[in-house]
Amino acid sequence: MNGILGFNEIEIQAIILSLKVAVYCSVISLPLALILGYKMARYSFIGKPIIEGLIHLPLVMPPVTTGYLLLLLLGSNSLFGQWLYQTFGIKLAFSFSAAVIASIFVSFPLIVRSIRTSMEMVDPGLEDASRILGASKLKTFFKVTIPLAAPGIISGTILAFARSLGEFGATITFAGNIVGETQTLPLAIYAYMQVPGQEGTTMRLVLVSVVISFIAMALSEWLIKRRKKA
Amino acid sequence: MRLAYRYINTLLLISLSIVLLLSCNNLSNKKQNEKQEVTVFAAASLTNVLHEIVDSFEVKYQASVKLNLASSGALARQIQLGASADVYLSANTQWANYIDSLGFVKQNLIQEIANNSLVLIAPKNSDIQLFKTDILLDLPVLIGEGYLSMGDPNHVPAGKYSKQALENYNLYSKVSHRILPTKDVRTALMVVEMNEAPLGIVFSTDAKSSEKVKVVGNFSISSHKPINYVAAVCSNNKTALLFYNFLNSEETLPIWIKFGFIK
Repeated sequence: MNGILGFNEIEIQAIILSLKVAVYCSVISLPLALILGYKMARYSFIGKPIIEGLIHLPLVMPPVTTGYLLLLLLGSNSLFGQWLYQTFGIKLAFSFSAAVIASIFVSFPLIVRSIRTSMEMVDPGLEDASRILGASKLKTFFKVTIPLAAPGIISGTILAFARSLGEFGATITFAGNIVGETQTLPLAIYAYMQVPGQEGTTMRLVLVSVVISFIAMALSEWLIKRRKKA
Repeated sequence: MRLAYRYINTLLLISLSIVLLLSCNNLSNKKQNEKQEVTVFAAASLTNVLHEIVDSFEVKYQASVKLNLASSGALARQIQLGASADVYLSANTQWANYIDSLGFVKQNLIQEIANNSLVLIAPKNSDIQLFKTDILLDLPVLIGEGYLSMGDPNHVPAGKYSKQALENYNLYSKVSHRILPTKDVRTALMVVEMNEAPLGIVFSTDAKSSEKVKVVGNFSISSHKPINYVAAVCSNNKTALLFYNFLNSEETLPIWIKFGFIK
């Protein structure tokens, strides 16, 4: 029980890994969700309900099922997995990338939903005005749509961040429980819970995850408030 | 208002009759229990073999067996908290002794019923050939950049045994950084089945149950603590005693062996 603040090496690794996965997850999800949320809010196209259903599937499916499907679709025996291994020598499952991918799939519906709703609230007239005044489509998107939808974008990103901090089922199925590679906070907590006499460690990690989640939530509130004042 | 009252009355009546029906059902169950029924709490790793044993038991004694399958620890906790088990089948001695120490086992009716062993497995299409005797020494090389899939040595029983065996061969420290710890032994099997790990350690019974893996090495039984299954009688049900004796009878011997257990 040495190290910083009485945490041992495994615990520190789990905490850092959790934050890393959550950051990667939200950074990768954000641009994708911005594009998809915008398309969903502004356009209707063939197959829209199907895409909508696919995006939302991980929200209603048990995470273990999501993890299992990912294992079937991206694992070594799948076509994609074989191609990936033969061309680049990459094995996705049971690696750090797998933990990030699992988190992305599970938290993606939350961020898309939030962005889409806030973009639907943006008056299309303002976008039209910007276009008429000569701004390009892209410029309009970045200078008008995104700033106006900012509160939804921020809270969506934080939600995705928080969800990926809490991700357990899909991660343990698709990424495993490897210390220092895929053992995030919830997985470490689960592992400690199985061992008699480790209640103290478990409690410590539970507290850490509560604190991290609180900070994330407070940050999002603060960011949204600051935007409102500006 | 009147109407609402009427609905409430009807609802009450319906729920009352359901409760009555349920309790009647329970009563008749209890009566049967005294005659021919036996409730068996069994470790999940016995699932396949037990289904066959139960089938032949039911035919022979005209009895019916109710199975409750879960991890040995979970079952022990259920019994401790008052679940009515007639026979408890544990995947290790510790949990069986724990139940015995709490006074749930009747008249020392506790016995070993089977043993299991550990094997090294690889996916069916793997290049690794059926073992030379010293394949275990090549383990670190064979694993290479891949993983060795096995139950988490911190809390999964199969993982604990695997760690003991590896330590016995002086291999644990060489492979510990390549271990893929799974939440139970069945997941360890699945990971190898899906070709995600080139090698894994599971019970020989698990290896036997899968078409997608092959055994490439055996761990000597003396390399780890004995993996034994223990039966205990926890009620005065006579059928329970019959079942308990049936588990160690000549008739069930071929079934145990067929599923990879050691008697």
